[in-house]
Amino acid sequence: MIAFLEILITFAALLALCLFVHVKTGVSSGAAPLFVLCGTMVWYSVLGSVHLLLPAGILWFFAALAAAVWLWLHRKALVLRDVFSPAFVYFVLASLAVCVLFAVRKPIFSEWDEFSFWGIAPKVVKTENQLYTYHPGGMRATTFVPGLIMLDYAFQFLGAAFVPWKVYAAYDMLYFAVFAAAFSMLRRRQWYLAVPAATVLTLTPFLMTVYYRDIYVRTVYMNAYADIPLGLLFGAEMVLYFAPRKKTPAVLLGTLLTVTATCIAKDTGFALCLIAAAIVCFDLLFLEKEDVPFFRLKGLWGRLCWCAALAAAPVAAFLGWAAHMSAVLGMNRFDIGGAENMGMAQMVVTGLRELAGIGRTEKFTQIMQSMRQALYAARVTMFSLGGQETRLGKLLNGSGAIVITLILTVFLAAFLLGDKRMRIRTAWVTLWSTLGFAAYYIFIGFTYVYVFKGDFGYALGDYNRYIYPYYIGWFVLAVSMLCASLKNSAPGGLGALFLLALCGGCLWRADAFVQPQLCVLDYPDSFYTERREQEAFAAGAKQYLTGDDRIFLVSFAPFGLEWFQYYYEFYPDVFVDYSFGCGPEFTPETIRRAEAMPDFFTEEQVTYFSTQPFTGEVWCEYLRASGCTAIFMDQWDAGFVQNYGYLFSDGLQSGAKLYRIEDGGAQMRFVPAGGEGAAS
Amino acid sequence: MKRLWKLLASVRGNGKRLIALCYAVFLAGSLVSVLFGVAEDGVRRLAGDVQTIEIMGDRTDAFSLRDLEQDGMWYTALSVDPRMDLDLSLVSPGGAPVYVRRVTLYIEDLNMDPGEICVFYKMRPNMEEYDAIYRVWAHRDAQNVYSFTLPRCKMYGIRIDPGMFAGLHFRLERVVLNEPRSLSDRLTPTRPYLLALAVVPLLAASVLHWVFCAWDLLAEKRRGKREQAASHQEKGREK
Repeated sequence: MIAFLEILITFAALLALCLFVHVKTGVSSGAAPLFVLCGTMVWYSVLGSVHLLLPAGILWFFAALAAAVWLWLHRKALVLRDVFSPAFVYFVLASLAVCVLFAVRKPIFSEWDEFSFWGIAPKVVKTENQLYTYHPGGMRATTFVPGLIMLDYAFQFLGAAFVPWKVYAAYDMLYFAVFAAAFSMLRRRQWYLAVPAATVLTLTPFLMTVYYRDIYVRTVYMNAYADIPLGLLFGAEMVLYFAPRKKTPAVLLGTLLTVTATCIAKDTGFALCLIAAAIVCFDLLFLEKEDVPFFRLKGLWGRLCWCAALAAAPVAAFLGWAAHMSAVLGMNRFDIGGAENMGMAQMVVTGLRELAGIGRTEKFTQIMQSMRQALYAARVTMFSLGGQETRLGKLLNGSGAIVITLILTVFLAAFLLGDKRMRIRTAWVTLWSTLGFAAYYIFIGFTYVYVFKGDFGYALGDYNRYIYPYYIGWFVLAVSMLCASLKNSAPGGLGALFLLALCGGCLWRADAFVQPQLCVLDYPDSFYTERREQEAFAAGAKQYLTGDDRIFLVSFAPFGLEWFQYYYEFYPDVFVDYSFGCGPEFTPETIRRAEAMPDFFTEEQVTYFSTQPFTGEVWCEYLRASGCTAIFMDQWDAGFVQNYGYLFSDGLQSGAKLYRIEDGGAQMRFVPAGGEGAAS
Repeated sequence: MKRLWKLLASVRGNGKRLIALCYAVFLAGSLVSVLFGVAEDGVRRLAGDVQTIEIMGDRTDAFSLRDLEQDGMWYTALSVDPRMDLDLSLVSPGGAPVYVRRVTLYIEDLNMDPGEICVFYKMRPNMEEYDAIYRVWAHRDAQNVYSFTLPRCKMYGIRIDPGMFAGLHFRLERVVLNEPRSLSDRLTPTRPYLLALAVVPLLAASVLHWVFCAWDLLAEKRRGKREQAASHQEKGREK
């Protein structure tokens, strides 16, 4: 309940800032939430990078309070008709609904990378009130850009403890802000267009990421990964610019903030934000007829300055983060490492040379051929019909080619339905966004060739995740341009029918692929049973531990996910030793990897422990050297009991989860915490 | 009928009234659907198609067990996928498909959170295996009571998965098929219903608005054509 009140207060503060922006700058009320949320991401990221995160939060809330006071004093200037546009109402109601839903159901992290970065990083930031780079602790990934983590921090700021579901609520509010901005040009009398547009847009994260009818829960709308937000922010940059008819300095400023937010949302955001900035700059320089002054600079100089700012802002953000990484973590952002161990610029140059046929390698040919094939063969989205064995199913297979055809069809509809000015604009946007896609697709191909190692590159691993952000943003832009074209069209016309048909089609596909019981709407409580069990085990163990303890984790589950999960659960109360990443490789013959040793080990220690077979004695030496004071037993097998059971005072028979390390000097013993009679 | 046209005419030009009408129709339709469900259930029960059947937990002939050990009313899961396949001939002597609309489990003394408790069902006679698409999850009515609401059609097979952990140990008091649902239970809205309530009337209003406006546009075009034809005729006569 308290967490719910905290997020409600933060949401009220957000709304105060939105209304202030709307009244003061003339940005439409539907676009204001996106303006403010992107500004919030940039604000916290900049100040967090210079160790001023806590003051950033205090100032943000003071600004919201000042905005609320100003609004109260100038309440007569509020035109309620303009404030309560369909887009703004949609944003408020959808955001509140999500807050209530999550406050009741309390979803928690369940996906891999939520524990390796996207969930643990917000927890570190909330706990320390500093950027995670200043307190990496045992985090294995620390170099990712902070934008989305800072968005979450804005909603975690109020309250003593970290609340996982607030992360999801923050992300979802960003989604709704993007959707609201996409149809923010529609007035109240165009509600009949706003409703189907809002429906299509709200379904977009499902439509573009789900490509088969799953029997497990889909975590769309309750997932802390950056791929969907990145895609939406990519679309948002262009939507914020193209949605309003009149391009004012405020609109350009909002676009600037969104471009910067995209750059700091995920590392691949840099490429996407430059594409979007280029599209906006072209329109600003060559198509926009009205003046858009840059401070006092009017005419061409004003536009050129805006273009320079749109290009410079993401570059500054990129370089700023590189400088921060170098200063705080001692790492070089330009060194992307990977299979070919190249720098970023080198990768692009080498890729372009091979693309032009100069020194083309077999690996390049094979991977680019796979990329070409995947465009029309790989199922990526819900826009498919029939099974794979039917002719219709093979043709309409939900591949990238089908999605591109759909998006271009929407652009075509926007072109045909718009007035002359809108047609010209739509035509150029379609052209540049299509070329932008081609460039992005090739860039992703380069990463498969030069960055990803081994089979991952050849198999186009995680292909969907790297491609669908562009589809998501592109689709959102197309729908937004359609709404802009329809704004002045006749109510009973073909344009509105097209939008209704698109909405019907999207609803039909979503219904075919996603059951309410297998998504955010009505997932079963049992979805989190195993995770809640882990929470309970960790909570039980923490009763016997203090901040001075260091735990060694034994977990035979494959892939090592459990280490990340328990590191997350025990943080910040107790530190969990990396424990060689856990996994079933735990026998007296195992040789440990040098890179899995603690950072504070000397060279001699690293050499010793990475060359010795991991017998019980060596394990005890490791525990002594690493300062571990306890062992947490998650999963083990009979072989482990046979090889190491003699170290445990109960022979691993009591079912205890936590064991204290008693170091008598000659012989170490592991004693169940709470005594030999205590079970887990 | 005249009143209906009058009502429709009054909402045609007014978006707010149209939306209000759609919400009213949706809510009324929901209520009618619930009452129809109650009536239909009552009629079927009277006709004997739907019967409340209580299966005590210690019966050994009611379920075919897989990875599940039974000792009287006590059950122990031997794997992460324990299953209880209901013998339909118990509830339908000829083995004919039968209406099973609700399954209620009365479980006690669970030694752990069971995790996923599901009921799988077969809706067609040619379904050889149970399909995860045809599955419902438990709704926890009370401390030890789990209920499942199945589709209203006839069933060709019912399977209960009482948990997802090996070592799960519990006492099954009884399984009740087609336990009557109270009116308040039927009227309690689910989350999918609330989303539908928020969205469906608005979409319906958008579609109706388009239909009305398209009708008006076509009528205007026809009127325009008639007026054009009439003015041509007049000109012709004058000449």
